[in-house]
Formats: sequence, C-alpha cells, structure tokens
Amino acid sequence: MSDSVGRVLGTEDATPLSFWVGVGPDAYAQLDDVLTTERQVPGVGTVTVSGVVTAVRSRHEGAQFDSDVFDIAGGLLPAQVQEAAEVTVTRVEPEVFVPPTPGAEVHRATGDERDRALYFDGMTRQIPLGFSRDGQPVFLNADFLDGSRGAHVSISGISGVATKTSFATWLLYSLLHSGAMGAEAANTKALIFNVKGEDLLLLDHDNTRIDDTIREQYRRLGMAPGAFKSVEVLAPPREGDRNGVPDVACRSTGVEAFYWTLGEFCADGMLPFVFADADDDRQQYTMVVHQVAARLRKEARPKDNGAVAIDGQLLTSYRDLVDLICERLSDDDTRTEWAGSAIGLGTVNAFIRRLIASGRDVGRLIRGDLPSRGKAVSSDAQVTVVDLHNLPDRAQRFVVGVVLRTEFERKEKAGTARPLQFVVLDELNKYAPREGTSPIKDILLDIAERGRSLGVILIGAQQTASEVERRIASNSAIRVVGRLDAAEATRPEYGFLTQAQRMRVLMAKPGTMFVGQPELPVPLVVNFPFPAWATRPAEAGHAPTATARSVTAKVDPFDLAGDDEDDIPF
Amino acid sequence: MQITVDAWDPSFADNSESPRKADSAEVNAEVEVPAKDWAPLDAPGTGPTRILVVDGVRRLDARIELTDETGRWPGLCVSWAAGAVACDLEGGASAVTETAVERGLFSPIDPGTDFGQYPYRKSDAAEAAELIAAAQTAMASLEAKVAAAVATHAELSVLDGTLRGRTRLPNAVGYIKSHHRSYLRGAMNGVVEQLRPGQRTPVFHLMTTWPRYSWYLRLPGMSSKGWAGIARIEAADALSEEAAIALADATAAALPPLGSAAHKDPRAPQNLTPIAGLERRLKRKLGDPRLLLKAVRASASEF
Repeated sequence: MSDSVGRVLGTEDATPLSFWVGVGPDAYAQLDDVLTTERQVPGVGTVTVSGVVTAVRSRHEGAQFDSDVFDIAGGLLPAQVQEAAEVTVTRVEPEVFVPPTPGAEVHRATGDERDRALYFDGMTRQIPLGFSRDGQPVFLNADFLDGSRGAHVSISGISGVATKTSFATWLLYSLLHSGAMGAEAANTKALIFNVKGEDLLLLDHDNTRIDDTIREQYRRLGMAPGAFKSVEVLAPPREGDRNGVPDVACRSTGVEAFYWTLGEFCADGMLPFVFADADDDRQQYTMVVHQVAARLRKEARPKDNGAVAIDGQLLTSYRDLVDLICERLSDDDTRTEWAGSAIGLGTVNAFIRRLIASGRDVGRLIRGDLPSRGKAVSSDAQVTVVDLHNLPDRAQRFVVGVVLRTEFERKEKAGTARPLQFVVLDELNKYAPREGTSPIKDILLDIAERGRSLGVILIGAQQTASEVERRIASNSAIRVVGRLDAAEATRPEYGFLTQAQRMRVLMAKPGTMFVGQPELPVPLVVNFPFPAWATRPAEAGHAPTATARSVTAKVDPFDLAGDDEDDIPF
Repeated sequence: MQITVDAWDPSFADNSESPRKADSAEVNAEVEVPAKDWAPLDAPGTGPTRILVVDGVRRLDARIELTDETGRWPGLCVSWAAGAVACDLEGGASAVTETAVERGLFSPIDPGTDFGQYPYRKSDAAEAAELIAAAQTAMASLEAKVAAAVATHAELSVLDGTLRGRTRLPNAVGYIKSHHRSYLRGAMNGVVEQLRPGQRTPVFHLMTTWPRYSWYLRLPGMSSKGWAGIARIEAADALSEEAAIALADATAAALPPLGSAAHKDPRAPQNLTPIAGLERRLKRKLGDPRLLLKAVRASASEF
C-alpha cells in the first residue's frame, strides 16, 4: 500500500492539469515522485488524479519580513515550516477532468498505481529507459520508436556532459536486448556514425569498469549486462595507403575499410555530396555540379579495380578525375557540354576551385585502385559503426550523405518497413541546419517524414535543437534532453519541458536525461545505467572471439593439421 | 423573536476603551530599596532561556439586534482565541504549543436555539461597550486556561495583560504594554524616564482593587526618552519579596531581546516578537470574518 504524503492545498488553485500538495509533517515529496489522489464525482464514481512532482518549495509560515528568519531561528518568533509540492497531472482516470478536492489525501503511487499514472500499464512493449529519482524503472513505449505509432528520437544537450551518444547507444542496447521487440530484435539493424573520438568503436568489448551494482541495475531492467553482440566497424582507408588499410588506432580486429570506387562514384552520381556544405547551396555553381554529375554518369565506362575510362582516358584516382573535369571545363570546346550552356566563366572557375580543394579531403575515399566492396557501407552485423572522426568536414558530409542515401534507397526498394534500420547521427545541426538546404538535409528530411513507414528510424543528436531543421525535430516522437546551456534552454524547441525542468536541465548531471514521449504530458527524468560496453580503450575488456577470427579470415588453420594425407607444404 | 444583523462592518463597534473604574492606588515603594534611593537598576548578565508567552486575540464578527415582546436588545457575535508560545532561546526554537478558539453570542436575552457557531452567553449588559467587556473577560479566562495548561515547565511565563485572576501560575508575570495612568509619584516617575534600554525600576508593591508587585522596564527601541518603550510588569502578591525581585531580574534579562522592531510592528517595542507571531497565528485560527458574517446572516434569516 502506498504511503500518505499530504493533502491537496486549497490556498493554491487546484486544476485538473496541476495542483499543489501540502506535505505532511512526517512525509516528504521530492521532484519526480509520482503522487496520486482520489475524489468522488456524482454520477461517475471515484476519479483518480495522478501526476509527477514538478516543483517543491518550503517556507516559514507566520513570517512577514525577510529578517523574521533570524528571529525564528533564534527562537523568538513562532513560525511553522511548511513544504508544498506542485504536481503536474499525467493521468485522470476515468477521463473526467475535474480538479482534485482541496484537503483530499495525497499518497505516493507505487506498483500498479505508479504504472497507471505513467501510462506504463498501456505499454504492451516496454523499452526500459533507466531509473527515475525514486529508484523505480522508467519505460518507453516501443510503439513510438519502431514506427507503429511514431518514430525518431531527438537528443539535445551540451557536448561532453549531456552524454548524448551514450544515451543513444544505451537506447539501442535496451531496444535490442530488453525483449520489447520480440523476435524482430534479431533482424533489426543499426547504423551508427562515430563523429568524435573513438568512443563508439568498442561497442562489442565488455566494459571492465562495471561492477555488481551496475550489473544489478541492468538485471532490474530485465536485460543482461554486456557488450553489443554483433558489431562491425567501418573506417576510412589510411591516407596514402595503397591497400586500403582502415585508419583506426584503438582496435585492430573486426574493422573493415570503407571506400567507393570511381565507377560507383560516377554511376551513382555522388558528386553533389562532395558539395554538401550549407553555404555551397547559395552559390551559382550547384548548377555546374549537377551538370558535371550527369555528364560523368553518361561518359564513365567502368574498368578493373574500380577505375573508369572517360573518352578513352583511364582514370585510377580521384585526382585523375578532378584533373579531367578541370581540363574539360577549361577547354572552350567542351565547356558547354560539361557545364551546361549560359554558365558564366566565373561560376565555372568557382566550381573548379572547390573541386580541386575537395581532392585532399575525399581523395582517400574514392578509389580507382581497389576492387569494389559491393556496397561500400553494409555488413551482416547487427550494429554497423561508421567511423568519421578522422575525416575532414567535407569528407564527413560526403560519407554521411552517400551512406544515408544508399540506405534510404535500399529500404525504399525493399518496399517493407521490416526489419527496421536505425540510424544514429550526432551533430544533426551540422547536417540538417535550420537555414539553407543541402543534399544531406533533403535526405534527412525524407527520413524524418517518410522513414517511419519505410522502417528507417533516425536517432539524431545535437547540441542545440534550435538550430536543427524544424520539421526534423517536430517529426521526432521521442525528445530527449540532457544538460543544456542556459540560453538554449529558454528556446521554444524545449517547450515540452515544464518550467521547473527548464531550470533543472541547466544542472543535469551526466547520465540524467529528460525524456518526453507522446503519451505522457510531462517528460520523465531518467538516470540510465553506466554503459556495459567499453566507451574508451582504457575500459575495454577482451575483444570478442568473433572479431578475433576475422584476422585469420575465412580459413581455419587447423583444417590443414587434420589432413593426414598432406604433408606440411615446406 | 426577530434577529437582524447590522449591515455595518462589526469592527466599528470595537471600541477597546472599556469603561474602567477610577481605582485608588496604594504604592509601597520600599520593597527592594528605600524610596529615597530609587534609581534605575541594570539587568543581570544571564536570564532564563526557556520562556513561555501567553496571549489572546478577540474579534467582533457581527453586531445583531434581537427583538421580542419585551423590546429590542443588542447582541454581539465574538470570536476569541488564546495560545502560548514556548521560546527556547538556547535551542533556537520557538513553537506555538497550545491554542484554543471559542466563539459566543453575548446578549441579555437568549435566542433559544443554536445561533450559527455562536453558543449563547448570558450578559446582563444592555450596552455594546459592556458586551465587549464581557467578551474581554471570556477571553481572559480562556487565556488563563491555556496558561494553566502549559505554564508549569517554563522558567518564566509572560502573560499578556494584567495578572489579575491568574496569580497562581508559577514564575508568571503580567505584561502591560500601555499606561493609562501612572501609579508612582513625582520623583519616582523621573526614575522611569531615566531608564536606559534594558534597565528597570526597583520593585514596588501596588494595591488597587487587588494587590501585586510591579516594576517598570524599558525595552530597546527607536527612542529611549520619556515613556517610549516602557512596559509595566506585575507579579503575584503571594510571592515573597525576594522571589518578586528575582522575577524582576529575570524579566530585565530576558524580555529586552524579545522586543519587536518598529518597522514590523506598530506597537513596537512593547509588543514582544513572540506575541506578534502568536497573534498572527491566532487571528488565522479565528477564521475568515466574511465567511462567519455570512453564516450569521444565514442563521438570522431563519428566525
């Protein structure tokens, strides 16, 4: 049975949406507690009003002046300390929106009452999010994540303390391991872009820092602590390396290099993604970009090892291609064919300038000397991590743009939403800024608006939601906020937070997130458990055997030893 | 019988100047020091730390008029409350330990039935001022009841107003804030005017209609000239002279820090800080006057 906290105040307005509770002398109410009260409504019966504590205050009753506090503390003036808690109503059952009666007893909701107050009772598939302040588990309705009734997650917060990427990976872990997705979890895939450090490259390594308390937290949430089971890491080839060795420092196994061949680059029209800066779009030369891309698609003939031949000239590197395009555009005879008619020489030169500059950035990703990987970014693993942190900005945009387009087109062609494809992308304000357009922003908008029905779910993170395209933020069913900057917290994008929560996000500790989901009128404050997978090399346990095997590749060395007929071949 | 409720705000009838008889006062100034040696006395360094303060408040809720075959009679609906504050100066805590609220309808004739929340209290007076005095007496007896319930543990009990009728309480003093008449003569009044904050006059014995010990004490305040900040304190006649002097020293040490600040209390510094807090609490306990007046009007309309 739940314990009494106090009574509904009559000196503050009690409304069906929020009311104040006078906290009894032997009780306490803290922020995020779930409280409930009942009243009798004629003809309806008992109406239960439940909510979450969003503000608490205490004051000296009987004191009139600020200086009275010294008289009271000195024992001269009698005064009463009275605490009160503001409850923001989450649920009224049955839905008769009457205010609670002043004086009615309020008690802490536990067990089924708490589940009802927070709508957990109606969630047939619950994804554990972590624990609330009172130590009880908090859940997310899977319907709003997998596209059944809503999709997409938007995570905002200051870099470093808001733990945005940790929460995104925790959400994925919880989704895949809590059983909320049922058998579908096995086929569900996730694509994670790693933009900062090598944080996400060790998802399949156990975290050596977790102890029994953290393991117990995972178990209380209904899942086993551990690393992600099936992870493949894709990294760009090392600069200047002719064999395409992946450029990763923290792990040597289970890493593949990703690149595109010149043939794919020309045939699939990837050139626009080289010019994916926000300010590129305002320039005239985008016309030239599309004209050249079309020309490449038409003229390029694929050759061995990803090379292409254009007008009989063999090109084996991105620089060769850049040189050829520049040559064609500089030549008065071919310029109209390649750049289109009525294009000023200044515009063409602006394009040439930027194209030459791009050679340094994306040269190692577009190869004419390595065989095609089939699909550049795709793997059989459940979680694919695409490492971008070593790449310059232009190359990062290129990779994100091309990968997202490929994935989206693949899902579009598949024609079915299942199995789901999750995409975790940090720094959304860079890829889908509020101002301007870019090819990546178009794709992200497409994902935000149509991804739900196509089974592409975006888990986007950004420092400032106010700088992200409004339609992407508004299409996110689940909004998560970690610690925010004071100026940012006042922006209308965070209107879903209560007034008190807007103050609280300024001092939210790492690991504390405010999660808004469509069913609940109040965002819940969640502490999610410490990751059970390594987030930096110092924490990493042993590499999983599956990835270790990739070193010795497909052939099992002991196959030879078992063969009696054959002698050792030397 | 017919009852009409006066439409005017009842506080217009609250004339606290209740009629007082001109007492003849007999003063024996030689209790502590010989009369010729009268001079201001300093307070001792230490005093009691556990002090109990008792006070009451009273409010006229409605003026009514009862008409029957014998004529028209005035009536008053009054609420009053009394309470006690225990101040622990060492522990830095003060709390209202006991409160009581009573209401009554004061009138010469009984309306016969229950009148709202106001039980009938017989009063022979036919004038409003005398009815108010009757209510004051009722409040004083409630104060005495509250004081009797809590006064046993305190080192010093300060009862607001005169000690009359409450002289049995241990370590109790009556605390009189205003001075309608001066009991001392000539040069002795000069000693009162010479008092500096925290000083007191020597104890004297005062006999009017009833006997008691008394002394004057100056509380710290904005101005320390004339009779500003002077309070008169009474102790029971049954005490020995030594006990009365000890009580006088205790009040001189304990009460000045309790004096209120001028910007917080219109009756500063005599209205002690705990009393001000207690009165605020008691006034809240009296209930909302508009609601009570509404209830009185509703009851009156049933007649």
